[in-house]
Amino acid sequence: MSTWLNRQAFRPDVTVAVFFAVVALFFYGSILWTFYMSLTRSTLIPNYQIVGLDQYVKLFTNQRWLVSCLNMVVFGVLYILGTLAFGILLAVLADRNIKAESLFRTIFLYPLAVSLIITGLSWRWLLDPTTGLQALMRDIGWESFTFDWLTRSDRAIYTLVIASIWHSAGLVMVIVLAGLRGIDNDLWKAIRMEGIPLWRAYCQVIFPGMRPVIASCVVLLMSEVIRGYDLIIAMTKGGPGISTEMPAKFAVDFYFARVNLGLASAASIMMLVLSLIMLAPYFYSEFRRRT
Amino acid sequence: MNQQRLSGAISLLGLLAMSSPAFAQTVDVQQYWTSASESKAMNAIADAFKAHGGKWIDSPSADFDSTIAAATSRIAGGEPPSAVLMTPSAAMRDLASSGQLRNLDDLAAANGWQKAMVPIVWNKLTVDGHLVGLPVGIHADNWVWYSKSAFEKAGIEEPKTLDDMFAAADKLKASGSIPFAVGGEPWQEVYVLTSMIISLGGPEYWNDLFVKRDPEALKSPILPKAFELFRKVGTYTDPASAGRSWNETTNLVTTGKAGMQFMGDWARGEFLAAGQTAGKEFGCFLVPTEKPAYAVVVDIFAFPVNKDEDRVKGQTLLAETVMDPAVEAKIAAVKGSVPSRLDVDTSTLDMCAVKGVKALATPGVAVSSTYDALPGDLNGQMTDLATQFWTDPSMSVETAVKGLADILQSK
Repeated sequence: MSTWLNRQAFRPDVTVAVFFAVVALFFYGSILWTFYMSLTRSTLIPNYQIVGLDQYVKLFTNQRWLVSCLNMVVFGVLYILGTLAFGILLAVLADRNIKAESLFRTIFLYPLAVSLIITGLSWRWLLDPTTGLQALMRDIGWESFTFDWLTRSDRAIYTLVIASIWHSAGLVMVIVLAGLRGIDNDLWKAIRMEGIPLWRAYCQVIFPGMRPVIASCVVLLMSEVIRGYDLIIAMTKGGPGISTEMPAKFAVDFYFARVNLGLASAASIMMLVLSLIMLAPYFYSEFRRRT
Repeated sequence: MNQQRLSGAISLLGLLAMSSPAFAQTVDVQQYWTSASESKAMNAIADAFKAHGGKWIDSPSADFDSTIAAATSRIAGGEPPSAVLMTPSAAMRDLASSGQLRNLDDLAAANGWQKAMVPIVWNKLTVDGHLVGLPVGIHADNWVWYSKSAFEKAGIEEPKTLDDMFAAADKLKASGSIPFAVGGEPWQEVYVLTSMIISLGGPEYWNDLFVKRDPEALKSPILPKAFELFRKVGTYTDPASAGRSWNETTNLVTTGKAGMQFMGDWARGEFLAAGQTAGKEFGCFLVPTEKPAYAVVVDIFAFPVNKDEDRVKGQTLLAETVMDPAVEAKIAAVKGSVPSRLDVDTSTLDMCAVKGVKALATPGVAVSSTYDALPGDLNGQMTDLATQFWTDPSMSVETAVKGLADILQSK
């Protein structure tokens, strides 16, 4: 009996099966239900009569949705490139055997410990032209100083980029730094013997070898882009006008405030499709390397 | 012996279990009245409710939208609140027609509530012939609030026509005040647009456009003109308007920094909370129109279906408390609304409230606000359109009118 128990004590297949059942039910089940809802004309309460792709047609003639998608692309590209650039730069600097490295590492990683709501509120106060940076500069005598991007509908999206780069650059720094620490010392010796300038060594030798590390960073940042919601709520509430709306906020607003379950479900399904499209190049390259 | 003790204990437990629901009358109120004047009004209801022996559980949300969101999730999750503060909107009609709201016909019949209410309010609150909500107070959207001190500084009087109003704005600008205080939130911006529409078109055009959604009304020259004036108001606002809440914006008028604000009459509550008196420190007028118009929006309590007996009793007690003329008068006095019962004593109300009571009592003046009149999310779509037009100067009037026509003709 006891030997039988011992043999049964750890059954990886059972553990995994339970886990997969939970995921299948709550995750894929919810996706299926959302897809079903997107084919109906449900408003506040689910309505199970299928009307076809009406909601998708409505979605893609809705100006606010189109602006949201465009914003996500603009925000996503700038945020990912900016965060990578800053994070890698910080990592390279930290890798040059500076003094008090762990202190700087903590300082730059710290923003990640701050919630996005707090990040958004702080940056809103900082960038609000009547109370923040602009007011401060004017108060100390620089009368013509103007930085009112937060209240301009054509610039507000960039303030979101600034705030989120501040938030995530530290994460990229730590991941890339860990990658840099993994570089073989012999490689550095070879670089030094060949007399290759430092910038070329990084750009042409070190980083190309760190592709998987950087790809993981990109995937992590992409998930931030797609689910971007709290920062927008805290910082701009989608405004001025609809200039900083994002798909996730569109879906939440239409689920609850606008009580349009059908349209919100269609938006959610489109978000899923969008994220699959965005992740496709990564999966493709991973797959190709394996085979 | 043991058996006796056991049965004694059981009967004692039984008594305890029975006694609690017999006395408790609990309400769990999902609400969003959080500004100074609003919370005073909610306290007026809560205090009266508690005075009758009820137990009040407060479930506040930050704003209207999150209240509806929270209430819907709670209803869907099987733990409905016992009362929701909302408006008689598409959401209320959806909830009612799916049987989620308590039918109040019996209470209305017993207390004669239909006779006590203005017909337009009664009609808004009935779905398929059943009463599903109770009015807490009546507001109207199309008011303008002004600061007497700012007007004195600019040397102007209360404007009588739309042209007067813009002339007044010019003088206010010249005297160094903000002419129009507008909070840069989509719902506040769309109020300016609808105020312009009602001002140019009057109650009949309003009904054609928003209630009947007549295609002819969409071709009227009133719409392009309204969008032009809407944009013109934008040129009179201050740079800090983006994202400002309505009560912070009202505060600009209260302190005399701004001249006028387009806002529903809940703004009056903020003036009163600041210790000001109508006609002395602040004034009010309905947006100038040829024929008087009053775009009514009603605050209501809807009562989601509950099963526990103490909660059902709590609902009944809350319903009777809300409809109590004395409580109605108190809400109106602190919040700026007009009482929703016709038999409430209006002698103590100030001049702005009296204007409202008079407008409500005159036939053909009261119309339904867009929030209640438009089905589904059409009002939301119009809000999106208005805020785009407001913030994007490159959007043409023709595009905006066409956009509005598409929205009003959909479904």
